[in-house]
Amino acid sequence: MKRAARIVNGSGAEVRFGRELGRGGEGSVFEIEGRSDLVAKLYHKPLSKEKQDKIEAMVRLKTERLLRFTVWPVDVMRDAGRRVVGFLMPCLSGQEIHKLYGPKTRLTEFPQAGYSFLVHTAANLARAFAAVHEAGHVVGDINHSNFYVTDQATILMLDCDSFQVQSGGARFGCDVGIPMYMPPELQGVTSFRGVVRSRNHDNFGLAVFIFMLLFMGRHPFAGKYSGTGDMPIERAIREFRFAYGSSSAARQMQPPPGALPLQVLPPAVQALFERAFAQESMTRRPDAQEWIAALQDMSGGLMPCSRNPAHQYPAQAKACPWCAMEAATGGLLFRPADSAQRMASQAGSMGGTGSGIAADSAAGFQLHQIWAQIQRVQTPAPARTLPEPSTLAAEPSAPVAAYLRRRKWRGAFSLASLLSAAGVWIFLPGFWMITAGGLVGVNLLLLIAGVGRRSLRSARSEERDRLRERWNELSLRYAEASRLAPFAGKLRELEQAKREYMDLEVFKATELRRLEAKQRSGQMQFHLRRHRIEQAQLDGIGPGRKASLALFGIETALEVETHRLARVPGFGPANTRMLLAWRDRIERRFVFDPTVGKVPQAEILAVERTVEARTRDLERRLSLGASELARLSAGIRSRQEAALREAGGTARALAQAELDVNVL
Amino acid sequence: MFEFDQIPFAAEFAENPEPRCPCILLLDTSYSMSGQPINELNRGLSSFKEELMTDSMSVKRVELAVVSFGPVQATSDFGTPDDFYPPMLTASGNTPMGAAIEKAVSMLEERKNVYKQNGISYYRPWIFLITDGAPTDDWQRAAALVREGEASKSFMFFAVGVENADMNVLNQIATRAPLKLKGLRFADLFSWLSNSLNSVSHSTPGDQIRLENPASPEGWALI
Repeated sequence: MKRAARIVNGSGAEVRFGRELGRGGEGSVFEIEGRSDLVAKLYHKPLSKEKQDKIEAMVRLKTERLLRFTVWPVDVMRDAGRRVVGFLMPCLSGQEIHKLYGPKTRLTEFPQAGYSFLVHTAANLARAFAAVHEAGHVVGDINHSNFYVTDQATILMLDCDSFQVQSGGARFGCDVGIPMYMPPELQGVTSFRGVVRSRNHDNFGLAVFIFMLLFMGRHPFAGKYSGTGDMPIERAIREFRFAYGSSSAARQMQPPPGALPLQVLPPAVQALFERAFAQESMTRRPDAQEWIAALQDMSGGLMPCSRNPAHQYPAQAKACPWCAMEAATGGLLFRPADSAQRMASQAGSMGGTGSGIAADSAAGFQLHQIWAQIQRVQTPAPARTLPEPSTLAAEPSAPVAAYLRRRKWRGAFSLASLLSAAGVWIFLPGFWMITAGGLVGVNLLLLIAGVGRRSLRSARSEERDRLRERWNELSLRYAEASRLAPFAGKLRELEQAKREYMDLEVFKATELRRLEAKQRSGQMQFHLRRHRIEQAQLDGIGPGRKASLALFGIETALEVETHRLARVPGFGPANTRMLLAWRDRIERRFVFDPTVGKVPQAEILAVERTVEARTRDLERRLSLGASELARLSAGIRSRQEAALREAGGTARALAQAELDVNVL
Repeated sequence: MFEFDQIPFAAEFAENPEPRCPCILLLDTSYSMSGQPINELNRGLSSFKEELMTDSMSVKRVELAVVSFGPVQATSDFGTPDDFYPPMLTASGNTPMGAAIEKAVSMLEERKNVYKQNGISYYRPWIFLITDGAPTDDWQRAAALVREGEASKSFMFFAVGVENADMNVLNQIATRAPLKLKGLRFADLFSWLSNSLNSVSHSTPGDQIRLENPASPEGWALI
């Protein structure tokens, strides 16, 4: 870098700049030659007297404690006119905090970070605020790019030169602020110049960032607004519309769908959030120390999810909220535990002897247990052949029996009348008229009685036909009720789900290998393309031949393929063999570099998201399997029984009707 | 085994609940854009994506959609830059600019509803029209929609004319002064747009953003 003026540090030694590390609105940050622990911030424009004084004061005010949490200025930089043009500060490490609290970036930038890491970071953020506040300063410009998080969950604050700094009796102000992290009383402020910032202002921003860390990047004031019109975040802040609080409904707010409910957190933490965002307590928001205590307790009370080892949650929650949220939204909140872990926890319980089962089978998914439950479900009996009703033993029905009795008596009467008529005719021939008249009269009476038989017979045969029809209907219903297809179908479905579940890890590994193979072949192609035929020393293939190859698009080793060479006129087998051997040699020299052109994280995540969703879905289906199967089985059996019960009654009635008709 | 499942609706907001800044590019693909102009436009689009990707906040907050005309079609639906695959536009057909603007306005309304349903905050949306001609359809209704949208602050409408664009009609459609692209400096235009969106995505929804003046001597536009 060329710079006109010589720049010196506080003790007059020249500062030599290395690479520019970053460029912001007011200045650039450079490496310093010979110092790997420090960097230099150089302002683009000359600084006001006040700002120069501020930086000098800050350098004087540096403490060991502040430097643990911030990149505090440790030395000034001056130009030839002794004007302050910048300062030296410790190197920054870590990444912007929004990359941690936003799940999308957390999955790739902090893949190992579970909920306990987030709670830990939140506590460390509170510790950083405590350090700044205890030194008498105010952070002021709280925003998503000013806090860096390391992979140890520690916090470093940057842009310290914008802090409000207290130096003895003098106060150097903070002129900036991003409204979405500012308290209600600072909303609508058009310029922060001259506004005195307080720790209580900071405490609002601190609570917002702790909230975003604990709530998967959700802003406490972004929710569903049931009123008309838009509800931008600053307006919601100004109007105390904390979307998750106890008074949110009264303020027409509700948490976004699929967000963590506040009630899942320990009561002490809930209470701190309520106090930080409510109107009544706006003058006494929780300070950093209160947060440290509550978050430390919370950290100790996290428990692992028994289903997904990547999930940890506050112990007082009834079930793992992350499983519920991931299932509800289909998104990934935490990087799923690697396959080995999951397999190990499955395998451990498969053995069936360990004492570990009792501990983690309480809520966790155990395939072998679930499957045993499924297998215990009673298979319903297939349909039996029903007996033909006419073969059943039966008694005539009451009216028929009565008729039969009457008929017996009538026969006897008729016989008696005949006999008596014959007697009269033999012994008293003169009275034949009486005989004939009596006989005719009696038998006429008997004939009239015989009409009852026909009507009874037709009634019974009608009944028989009705019953036969009903019987046919019921046999069909029984056969229908005994159809096992739904049960068998469900069982097959579950078997399929089980197979798929057991293959998931294989599937994931295959997919990841496929991605790697794609990357490998990409690298191989690149490697082959770098070897140009025109530059190669190839016996018998001179510039002319090379030109004709080029004419057919064969310019690098990549294009050297049998079917392509075959199209080139005058290119014989010997030349072809030699070119292929050349390509082969180049291929063998290829070394795969897994760090170059890494498989894009997004593609790996897509596989993981799919496998996770599939795992969840299969576990749900298999867990429900036993009860669904039992319900199907019980349904079949009860329908079978009902049909059989009714069929039994009908069969008996039918047998009787058949008998009745036969005897009449 | 099974197909890769589509990411369900709410997943994108569960994984990334940051406030969104939706931006619709309304791109003229009429026949007159053939050749150099459409090539430069395509090149500009892919560098646009790359530039947005370099800002860690824009990647989470900016959402791009592309409507090309004619015929009017949503070439890409709203997605964050990492999800945005610049389309390869080809020039053919006429210039149904009115219908395209109406389509963009209705897409924005729909998207805003999705945000509201999901409790996602958003910035004032941008509609960015690039054309080299004059509308071949009825644009009066579209002009009324633009005036209404600008007045109610439901979106910002920018119009950029290329080469022989009818700046007079653009003036009647847009309430902000339309800009005339210098030559075919699409790359500079998209670079400016991505910088502007970057500064939006670092602000708070509802903030007034001071945009860099594109019509400065070194800028890409003329007034």
